[in-house]
Amino acid sequence: MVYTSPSSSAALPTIERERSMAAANRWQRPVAEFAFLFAAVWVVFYGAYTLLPFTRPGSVVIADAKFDVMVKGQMFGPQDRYRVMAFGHSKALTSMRPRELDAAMGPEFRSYNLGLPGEVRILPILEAALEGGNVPTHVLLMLPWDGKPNQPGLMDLLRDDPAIAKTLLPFRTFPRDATLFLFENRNRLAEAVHDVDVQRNSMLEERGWFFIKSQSHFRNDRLPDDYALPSDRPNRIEERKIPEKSFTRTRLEQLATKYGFEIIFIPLPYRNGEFKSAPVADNARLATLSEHPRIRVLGPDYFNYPPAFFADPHHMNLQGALAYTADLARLLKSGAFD
Amino acid sequence: MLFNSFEFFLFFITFLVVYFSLPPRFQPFVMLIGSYIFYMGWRPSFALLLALTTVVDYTTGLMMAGSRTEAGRKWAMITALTINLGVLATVKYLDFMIANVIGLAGLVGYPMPDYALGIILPVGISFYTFQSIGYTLDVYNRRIEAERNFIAYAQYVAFFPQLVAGPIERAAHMLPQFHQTHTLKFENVPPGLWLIGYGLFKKMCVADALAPVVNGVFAEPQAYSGTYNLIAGFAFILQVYGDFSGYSDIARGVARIMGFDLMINFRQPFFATSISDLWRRWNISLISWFRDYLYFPLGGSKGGELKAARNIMIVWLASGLWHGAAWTYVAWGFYYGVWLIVERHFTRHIYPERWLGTRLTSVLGCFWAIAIFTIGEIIFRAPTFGHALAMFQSFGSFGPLSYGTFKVLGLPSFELALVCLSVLILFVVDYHIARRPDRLAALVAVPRLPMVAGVGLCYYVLLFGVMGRIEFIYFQF
Repeated sequence: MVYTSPSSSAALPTIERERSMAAANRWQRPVAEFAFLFAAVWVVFYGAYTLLPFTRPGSVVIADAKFDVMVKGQMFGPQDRYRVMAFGHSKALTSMRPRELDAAMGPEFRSYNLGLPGEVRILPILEAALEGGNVPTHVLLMLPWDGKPNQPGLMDLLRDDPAIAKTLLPFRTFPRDATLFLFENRNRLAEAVHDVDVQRNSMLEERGWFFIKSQSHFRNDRLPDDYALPSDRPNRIEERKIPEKSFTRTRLEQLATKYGFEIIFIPLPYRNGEFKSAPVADNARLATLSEHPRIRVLGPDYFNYPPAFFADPHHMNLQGALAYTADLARLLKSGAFD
Repeated sequence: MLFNSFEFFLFFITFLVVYFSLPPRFQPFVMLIGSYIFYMGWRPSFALLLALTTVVDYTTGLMMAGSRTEAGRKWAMITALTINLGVLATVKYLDFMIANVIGLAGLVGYPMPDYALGIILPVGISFYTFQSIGYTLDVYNRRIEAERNFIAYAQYVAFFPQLVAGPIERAAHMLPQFHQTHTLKFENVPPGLWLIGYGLFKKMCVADALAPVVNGVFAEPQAYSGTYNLIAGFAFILQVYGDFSGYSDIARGVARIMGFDLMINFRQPFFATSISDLWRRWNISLISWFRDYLYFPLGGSKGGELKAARNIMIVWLASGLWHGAAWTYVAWGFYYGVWLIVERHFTRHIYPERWLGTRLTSVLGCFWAIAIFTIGEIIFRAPTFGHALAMFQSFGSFGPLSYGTFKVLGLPSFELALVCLSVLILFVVDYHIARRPDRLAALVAVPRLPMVAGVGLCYYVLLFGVMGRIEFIYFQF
């Protein structure tokens, strides 16, 4: 009699089959347990991040609010002849006060401070505003564009680890934010929860200007008069470096042509002693950057102010912001707007 | 391709799927192709030098095996060394030599214009060249048979986990592994993942978190008081330890998952009790390479104290030069050479244990080793002698610390506290690995605790690790 096996798996010797199943079982349980635990922690973090929005730092809250205004809100009215958007990072956020700037520039002038902490990309923010129907006549830049020549491709996206991490773990900053929130507000937790709305409304009221209270560790939010840091370079001029070739620049020029706005680089504020006083602007540098008429560089490379105008090593307090805004208004009046 | 990137994570997962799903006979080819893809992520042309080293040492190995005379063997060995070291000297030291010739000519009254070829150093060349030279010398000294399978030898040179920053492996340990069929075994995965996780923790939560302070202070040490310079010195030894040992751990973990065993490159050096002990625990594969292929052939400690001292100094000067083409590295090697000679005499003639007791000698030895090591690594890290000197001079005036300075240096409050916590975790874990492995074994035996700790480690690295593809320090060597 010839024996034929009903299936190939049945043809396996029993002992081998058992071994193979045992090997598979060895994997299944630990992998499943690990995956379950990992997912459970993810859900807990995500839940906490979503349910406790008040733990987010003011910078994140105001960034979200600014995006809302740009995308959904109407930033300018038909009466505004000069519609101005100022971009930059946290220095810009804390230094330019749109209300005072508007008052100094005249009734047809309306500006927004679109500075965002830690944000150095101009394009996505501007494009969001343009798509939302908020078209400026002037874009003020307080930081240079990057020098990357090409649009980010697939490999660039694959190599952008911070962005990937942010996508996979949207709560990545939550432990930090929650810890700082609890520590800084340990004696006033209940009030601190309501601060979020206050901060948001205050920023909207001020059209983007925001004082970063959480980073101010000095009495009356002002640095001592003799404040200095080892990293200060009082003998060095911190020249603005604006890359000639950049994808961002090309795209900005395209947008400027399409929407008919001008791009103007304006000075940043620095502490006295942080760098040597910037030399007065020479006319050559005030001129158009290369040949394109839609981009201009205005004023000295930066303005210097006493430490008392700053709440922390980098960011201005209200007094400083008023002084900077007044200087900026003088600079803009001197030729940027006809 | 950096270990501390999502790109590598994707690469490794894809590689594992392909490597283990194809029939075993394809494994060597998959490993070789994968290793070259990994390496060419930096610059495809670098692979040419890697291939050249492979072909040269494989061929000369066969020539030695086939040679009927000692002279023929020697000739093949010298050919291999000349080509390997010639390539290394050209890409790594030629600009340095040119700069020194120009400087020397200027000193003797023949000023010449500055000139540099601007050769880009292929990543990992010092590591794979030394590994390949080790094979050649082992074949020449008849410690191993010449490898006849080219694909196996090519894998040995290009094995991606340890290709760019070691450990510098030995042929006797690695080559047999490339003749085996590897299967994905469960018992390899948890230890491999632990090594990877702990390595990433060391790199991303310790080394990269400390980098801003180190970079800021070392760039302009004269601007900071002695306190900051001292902190930067300590921070650098922690940074370089986290960076390099982290890389080695990840390399071992990646290899382990695939069923390969790589040598341990670091054995908790901060618990060393002397400088010589420290160097038995730090970059073990390189130091033992110099011991086996340079110190012993020079005569080692045979022939009296003077010869031993000479040999130690030669080895350490060579080690300094291996690290880079700069006089600071030579000075670094000289510095350790001197201290190792001094310590050798001290321990042989004074016997500190006799009058201090073993425990106190160990504790004092640990502080001594860390202090000498910190100063040595300041010389190592400083861009110029001037920078190192400025740091040492600053130790004469210690000033107060200010929060604002740490903030400007890139460590605001939370990050500062976090890096302190990470360093504490590092020391606690390393202490237990070094001194109390029994406790770790007991913890591992607690049901589910390793898994919970593993998930915790994953989240710690993902949430608090510095993301941003920061290169490993030893890539530049």
